[in-house]
Amino acid sequence: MPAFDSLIHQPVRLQIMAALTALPDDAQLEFVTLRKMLDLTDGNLSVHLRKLEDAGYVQVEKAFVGRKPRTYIAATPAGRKAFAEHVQALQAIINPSS
Amino acid sequence: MNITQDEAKLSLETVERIQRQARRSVAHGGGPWHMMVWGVVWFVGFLANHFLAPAQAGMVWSVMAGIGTIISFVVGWWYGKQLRRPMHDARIGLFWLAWFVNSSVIIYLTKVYQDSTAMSLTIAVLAMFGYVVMGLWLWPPLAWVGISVTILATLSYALMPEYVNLVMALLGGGTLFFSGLYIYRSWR
Repeated sequence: MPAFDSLIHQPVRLQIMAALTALPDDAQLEFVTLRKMLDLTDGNLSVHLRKLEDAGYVQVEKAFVGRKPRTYIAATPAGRKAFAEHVQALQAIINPSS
Repeated sequence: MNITQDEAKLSLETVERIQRQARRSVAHGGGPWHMMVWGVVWFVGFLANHFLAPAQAGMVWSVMAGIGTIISFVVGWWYGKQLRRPMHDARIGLFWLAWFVNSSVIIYLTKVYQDSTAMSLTIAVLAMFGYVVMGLWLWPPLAWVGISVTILATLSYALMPEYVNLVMALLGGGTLFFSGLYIYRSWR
């Protein structure tokens, strides 16, 4: 039985994980791009990212592009695994027989 | 936590929508812009081949290719800022560098530069080879555009050489521009 993950299931965190896991394993998404994509505020996104980071599901990295500081976010292997299992758990709810 | 089937279905629909949006808008976001820019470059360049003397057409090509290269770099930089993939980006950069060097050698060895039409077509076909490689590697629509335009260039050069520049301006440049525009609009 795939594992349902209540941390990921929260709507904003589900969207964050969906966006990050859609990208290749080596890709890091910029904070502002993710915020615009999901139509969130800085504060809201930061709070949910911190929870996902504490769980080891995402990795947050600060970098400089030119002179400007930027924050890049990537799903960790553990985050990708947990998200995949969560999606399987949702699918199992819809199709209990499969 | 108890989840109903409707809630689970809604969650899965959200996941699918966000993942599609992320892949399209970020991972391949620059592709349509490159196609539109080079479509315009080709349109103007091949029209210049048809209507102007070879020396003047060469000048037009140089200016347009320069503008196209600068815009391509800006687009690449803009999307690269949003999505970091250092090794991947380096590989793409090295591919196009190798493409440029090899293409220059091919043009030198075949002396194709002696005929401005053959020169433009050769560069166009070599560029489409790059599109096919990028398509196979990254994003299939590029491969289809590359194959289609290569066939178009070859057939028009073989069957109606006197109109080949006009065909390449309208259909070659047009294919690039409108494919890019269609993909860009369908992603929004």
